[in-house]
Amino acid sequence: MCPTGASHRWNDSNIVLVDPNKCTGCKACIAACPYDARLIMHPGGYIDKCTFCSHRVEKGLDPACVSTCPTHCMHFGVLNDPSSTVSELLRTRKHKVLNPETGNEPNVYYLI
Amino acid sequence: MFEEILVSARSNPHIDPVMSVWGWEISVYLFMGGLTAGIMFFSALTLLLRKDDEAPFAVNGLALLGLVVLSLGMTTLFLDLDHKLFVWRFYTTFEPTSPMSYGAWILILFYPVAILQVLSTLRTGYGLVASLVDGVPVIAAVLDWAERYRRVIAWLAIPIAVALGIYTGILLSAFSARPFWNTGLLGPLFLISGLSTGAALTALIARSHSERRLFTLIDIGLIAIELLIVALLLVNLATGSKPQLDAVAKLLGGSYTLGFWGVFVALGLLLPLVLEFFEIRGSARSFAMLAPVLVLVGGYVLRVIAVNLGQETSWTHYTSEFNTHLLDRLH
Repeated sequence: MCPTGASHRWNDSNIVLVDPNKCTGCKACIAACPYDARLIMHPGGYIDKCTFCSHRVEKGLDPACVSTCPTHCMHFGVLNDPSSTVSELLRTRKHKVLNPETGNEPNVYYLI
Repeated sequence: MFEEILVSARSNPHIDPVMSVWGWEISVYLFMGGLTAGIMFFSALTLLLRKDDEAPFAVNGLALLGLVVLSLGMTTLFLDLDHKLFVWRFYTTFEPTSPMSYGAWILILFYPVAILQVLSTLRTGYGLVASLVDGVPVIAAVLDWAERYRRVIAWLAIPIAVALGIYTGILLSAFSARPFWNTGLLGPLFLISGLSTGAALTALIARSHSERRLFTLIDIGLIAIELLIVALLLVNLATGSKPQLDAVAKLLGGSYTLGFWGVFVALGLLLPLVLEFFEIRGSARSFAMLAPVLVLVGGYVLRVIAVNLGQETSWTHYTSEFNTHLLDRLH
C-alpha cells in the first residue's frame, strides 16, 4: 500500500521496516494495518513501527523484548529452518494468530 | 527535573479509541478531486459530441476551472502529509500494489492534458485573454496547434477524468483493514458523485438556458444512479460482516444518522433531484440556483462521512486502559 516504497521487507525476511528518507507521511500504511501497529514519529513526521530490533537481529541477537522478558515467554527465530526453536514450538504447541480473517498472514504466533 | 514520557505504539490518539489520521484535508481533497473529474469529463465530452451551440461554456470555458479546483485540492492534500519535505518521493517510483501511487501519477498526468484543453479552447472560451497573448508568435502557434488537435486532447481527457474520479474510491476500498471502505461500490460511488458535482457546477455557472437545461438533465440522471449505488452500499453493509454491521448501525440510528440521511441523502440528493425535475418542467424557476449548490454540499458531506466513518471501523478491538487525553496535559 506504500506509494513510495518506504515500507519494505528487510533482507528478504518477513520483517517490515520503514525508510524515513522515502516516507512522505501520507499515513496510508496506518490505515492499511488491521492491528493499528504503526505510528507517526513526532516531531519528524515519518511513519514507523516495531523493527523487531533488526539492528540486533543482523548481529544474531534476539529482539530486545525477547531478551529481556523475565518469564522467557517470547521466542524469536527463523521459521524456514525446521530445526529452529520457533519451528519446533509451532509443531508441538497449539497456536493462533490475531485476526487471520484480514488475510495478511501474520507471522506473530500466540502459543495457547 | 527531567521527565521522559514513553508512549507505545498503541497508546496514541491517532489509533485510540479509533483511527484518526485523516481529517478535513482529505475530505476536502476528495471532494475537489471528484469535482475536477466531473469538470474535465464534461468539458471533453461536450466538445467531442459537438455541443458547441448547446453548451458553449462547457466546451470552451469549463476546463480552466478544473485546473483551479484540483490545485486547491492538492494544496490540502499536501497539508495532510506529516513528512512534507519528502513529498517528491511519490515521484521517484511507481508501486503497482499501491493505489496511492497510481493516484500520485494520475494527478501529475492531469495537468498537461488540462492545460492543453484550456489552450485548445482559449480563443473561443476566454477571447479577451487570447487576444492579449495572440500577439506573441510562439503563443499564437501553440494555440493554433492545440486547436487543431482539440479533439485528440479531449479523447485523452476522458480516461484521465474517469481515472481521477474513480481512483480515490478504489484507494479507500483497497484497505481491507477498514471494513466500511472495503467495498467495490466505493470507486463507482465517488466517480458518479464527482461527475454529479461537475455537472451541478456547470449548471450553476452556465449562462445559456440550453446549457443549464442540458446539465440539469445530466445531473438528474447522475443523482438517480448515485441513489442506486448508495442503496446498494447500505444493503451490502447491512448484510455483511460484524464490522460492516457496526458501520451501518452508525448510519441507521447511530452517530452518523443525521449527517447521512438529513444532509447527504435529503439535502444533497433527494431535494436537488426534485428541484431539478421541476426546473426541467418549467416550474419553480426561482429555486434554480439552489439545486446545484445542494449537490455540491452533498458531495462534500459524502466525503466527510466516508473519511470519518471508515476510520471508525476495524477488525480488531482492543480495550485500552490508557487515556490518550492525558497526553494533552503535557503541553
